[in-house]
Amino acid sequence: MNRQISGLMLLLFIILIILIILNISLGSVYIPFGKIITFLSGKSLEEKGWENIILQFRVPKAITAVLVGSGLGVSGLLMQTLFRNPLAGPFVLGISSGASLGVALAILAGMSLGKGITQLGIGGSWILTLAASMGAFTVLSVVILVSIRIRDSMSLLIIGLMFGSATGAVVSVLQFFSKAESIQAYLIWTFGSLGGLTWIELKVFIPVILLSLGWAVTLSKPLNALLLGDQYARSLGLNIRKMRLAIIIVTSLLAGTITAFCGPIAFIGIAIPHITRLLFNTANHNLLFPMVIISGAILMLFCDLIAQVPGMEYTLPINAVTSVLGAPIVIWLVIRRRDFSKSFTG
Amino acid sequence: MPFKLCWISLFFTVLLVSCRNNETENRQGSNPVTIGKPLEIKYSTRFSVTMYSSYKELKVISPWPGSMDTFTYRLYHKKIENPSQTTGSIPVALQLPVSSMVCFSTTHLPYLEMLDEQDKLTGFPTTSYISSATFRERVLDGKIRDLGPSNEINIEQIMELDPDLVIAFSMNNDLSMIEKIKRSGIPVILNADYLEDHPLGRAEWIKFIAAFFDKEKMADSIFSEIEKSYLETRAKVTQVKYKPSVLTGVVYGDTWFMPGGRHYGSIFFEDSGAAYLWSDNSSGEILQLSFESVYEKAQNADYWVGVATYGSLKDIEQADERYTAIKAFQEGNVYNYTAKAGPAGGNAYFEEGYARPDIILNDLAKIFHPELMNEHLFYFYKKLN
Repeated sequence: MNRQISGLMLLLFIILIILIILNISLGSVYIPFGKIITFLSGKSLEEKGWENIILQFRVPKAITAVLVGSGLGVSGLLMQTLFRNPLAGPFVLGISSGASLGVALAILAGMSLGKGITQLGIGGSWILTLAASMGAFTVLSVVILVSIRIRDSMSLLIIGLMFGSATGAVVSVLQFFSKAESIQAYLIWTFGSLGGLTWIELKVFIPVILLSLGWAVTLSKPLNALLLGDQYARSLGLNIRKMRLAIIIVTSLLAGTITAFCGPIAFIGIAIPHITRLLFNTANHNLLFPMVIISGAILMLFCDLIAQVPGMEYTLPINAVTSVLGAPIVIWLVIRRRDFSKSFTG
Repeated sequence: MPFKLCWISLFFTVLLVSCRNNETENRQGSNPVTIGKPLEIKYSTRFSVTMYSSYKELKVISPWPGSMDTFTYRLYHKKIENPSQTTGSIPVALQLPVSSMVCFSTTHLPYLEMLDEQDKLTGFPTTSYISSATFRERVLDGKIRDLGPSNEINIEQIMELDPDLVIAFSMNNDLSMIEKIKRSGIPVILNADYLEDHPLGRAEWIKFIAAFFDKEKMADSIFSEIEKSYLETRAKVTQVKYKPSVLTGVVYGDTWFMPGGRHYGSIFFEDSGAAYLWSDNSSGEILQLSFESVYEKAQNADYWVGVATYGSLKDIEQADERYTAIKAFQEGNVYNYTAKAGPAGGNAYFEEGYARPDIILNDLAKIFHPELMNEHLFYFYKKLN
């Protein structure tokens, strides 16, 4: 690792720490910075309300933002490498489509029947989480079954896309026959949400994401081989099929869990691997993984900061911010680096 | 931002007022002999009824959010040769009496029942949302036809029913479905009751519906009773010095939808002797707030009234444990408008409640000042356990 890269790494790490502190400090409610630092250094505050806001609202949201950014970045990287396609992202296998279908069934069909969500409460986050997980898991199982039978990664990509279209169509039909209120409830879910996770949900969310990230990092070496082609990887003695399965499962765990808890967060998954590759000018996964994890967290924290519109009572939907902010960053980087395709293949 | 909004709304108001002035002048210019007698409307800002010698003229003003259009309808008793279907400068003409009609919203139904015209309703979209017992029975007897989901109403069914009139509503400027129905020769009239800012303004729409049945007098006396009852309760509870603080709504995604200070919901709280925590806000819309800002302002709220579809305190806690930090939750002072929620997804609060703001106000007054409302029994609201 040369000096320039380690300098850049250090810089990103410092930015991450600053953003975490900023994210906890700024929000709709104004809390003096001094109070935040006092509280974060372990002392208690006189204002119990502020303590609660920091502990129950802002810290869980900052943790969620870090894990969502990292998780989506890593799963995007895994998919881009597996398919050797710069347009691939965490949801390319139809995971978010599956999750959307689960949620649409729970909200839209459930409401039409007058049961389900209507009786259990729309904000019943566990119900939505469960519905999304089941939807994502169903699609995932089919994809895994197909991937065991099919040798070609590209076919898998097309099958994933088809799944997306098919589930999208079913969701449209459901929307067509639903009441305005239920369509709105569904739409709100599709906007994404980082603030919905409390410590109870985080008890599940944190370990799943951390373990999946850990598993992904162990795949660095075979992923590097895969970049040079299936043939080359096979010649190194890699079991391609087994590896593909591992990549798909890790991606599904990351993207599926994140979508289940936070809704389909757009753009981060596709943008982060590109941003990282362009910044570090490398395709080596040993380096890419830690950097994708850090930059994913940074971008997500930054987007959330903007979505909060500090100082105002109002909030913006997180998905609007990720796309509006993410697209120009990628375009700028791609234009700046004319040899974009080279950065991808390493 | 609010400052800018103020200017924009001022601009629109001026525009609206000037448009309406022009209209009056034009009418008087072309037809100077007829001078109409307007019906007294006290609270509603969205409709007018004017009686002329040979017809009644109904006007519906800005029937969807942001709309600046005024729709004019003329109701005739004598036979009309060419009932016109055009909107805009030529009013829609309609033949009285109306013997059958289709309504698109449950909020239109209570007026029919109160005017004893329930047998005139022959079709409704998604009849399972109706909660009134009278209408439910008529649905079961096959006297009210289900016209399919409200966002894609089966127009062929309406054409087959061939009602004298369809009373519709629109949430935006997409009137394509309404135009389609009109093309089949059935007059469609827009209703804007859901946009009224004052609770009594909503109830006053009974006068609008009554015009189709020549029951203006009956409507006036029914409305006066409701108004009297509303004002009595208001006078009784607002003189009490103690005003408990109240919040409403729940969080969806990351957003807490909270009525602005000039919204219908806020006026109800004010009139029932409570201190609504967002009453200072000058908006008549629903505010989109972050959970933490609601928490900051409402953590010590005495009451939490109106919690979407939650049926118990446990449901609320399971949905998000942070709700439990609100004082009203800890003290068990959480109420919801689900006492009359129907088995098929309907809720009388969104049906009968529109026409009976006096009952809603009595319920709210009983929540905030039970000692003054001993004789009243909860109707729409219930306490969650």
